[in-house]
Amino acid sequence: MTEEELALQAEYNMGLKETIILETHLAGVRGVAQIKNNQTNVVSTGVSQNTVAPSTVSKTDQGIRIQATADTNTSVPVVYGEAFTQGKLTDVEMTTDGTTMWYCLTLSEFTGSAIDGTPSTIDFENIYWNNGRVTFASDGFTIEKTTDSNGTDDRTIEGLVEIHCYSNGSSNPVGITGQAAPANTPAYSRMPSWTSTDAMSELVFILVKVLYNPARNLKGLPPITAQLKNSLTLPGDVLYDYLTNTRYGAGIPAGEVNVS
Amino acid sequence: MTDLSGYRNGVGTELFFKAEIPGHPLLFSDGDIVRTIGSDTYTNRGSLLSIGQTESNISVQPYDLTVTIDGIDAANVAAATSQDVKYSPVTLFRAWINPNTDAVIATETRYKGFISSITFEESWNAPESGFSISLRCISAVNSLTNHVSGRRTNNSDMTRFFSTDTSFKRVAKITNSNFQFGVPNTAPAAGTNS
Repeated sequence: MTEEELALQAEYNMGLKETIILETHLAGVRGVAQIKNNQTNVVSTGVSQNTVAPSTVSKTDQGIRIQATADTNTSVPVVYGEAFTQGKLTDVEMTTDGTTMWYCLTLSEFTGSAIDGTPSTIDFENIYWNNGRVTFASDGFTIEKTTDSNGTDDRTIEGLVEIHCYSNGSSNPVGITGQAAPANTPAYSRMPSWTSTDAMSELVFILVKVLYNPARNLKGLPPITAQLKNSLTLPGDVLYDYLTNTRYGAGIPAGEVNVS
Repeated sequence: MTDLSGYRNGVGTELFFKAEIPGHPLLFSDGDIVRTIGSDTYTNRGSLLSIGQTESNISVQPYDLTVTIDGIDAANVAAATSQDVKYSPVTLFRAWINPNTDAVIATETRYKGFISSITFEESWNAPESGFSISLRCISAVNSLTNHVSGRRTNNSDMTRFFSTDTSFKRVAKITNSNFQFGVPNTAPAAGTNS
């Protein structure tokens, strides 16, 4: 490189250096302006939230008022054969954080024995949530989906509702026929305030746990129907049980009934 | 129905009354001799046993029956005053008697029921003073219409059948109680797990 070329290179470098300094300065000025703009935006956003208050919806959600409709003068139904029943509300409670409701629906008396002495059994054939047949997850009590009469599946409440089925007292959890069986957990270990004396003696019932979720329109308990199937189906067995039962029947001594 | 066609010359009848009072069974007949039917021995009261009118209907009809016993002994008084006499089961049946051998041909039940009330009557007209007991019975058929109302959803009914079961104790508390679902329960009220 000649001396003339070296002089041009030095002049170019000097100019480049000054350009960089100038760009840096300008960049600093723009940065301050950007920060100021950002501050303005933040303030503006805050005002917007306070005015429209989309985020305060969750803080000020007033929930939904639910009135329990329990009745102390209702007889517990007796189911023979196969029947659909909505049961009677016999307990309801809400957790202190307000996010979970528990319901106890008493469905039927647990019946006695057939004429030949065979004890009766009452199975859950299906549960219907808002007229949709319920399919449970693998745990046997968490709702996975509901299916309407057209066969359309609905997973809106998936994982948000639990239904625990019991046949013949709190210590006998049962599953739905053809679906996964639940763990052997007594009802008094599910319902928050229950103890071992809450035995639900000789009753068929369900516990329903509902998690509050307004986004999925889950704000209460819709109609729930249980399809029960009693092993007592023969007219003679049913009549014998009804005649002799001292709790819900005629209370006639068994010896007074001619079963021959 | 008993076939009596072989007794063209006549057949005798006697009424038998059985009251299964715990510890004091009453076994009477209106016949004139003591008879044993099955494992039960029936005292012959003859005309001292008075049975009210019984009915024969094709369909099952409930009706009340009054049985009056005169000339009773001390054992019968004890039975009549027993605490368990009410709702003790009673059976009234007719026995067909062979007039030649005086043996029981067959029996037919006329009435089944329960003692609903008892009445004592005593007269002091010497020398004809008397003492009688009247048992009023309700038909077992009545018990079908008077069946228990079943277990209602309240704590009283639950503990009547299962004395230690507290499952229904909260039903009265939660009746028409309100819950603000979705809001923390800062003031627990009846029906919540306060």
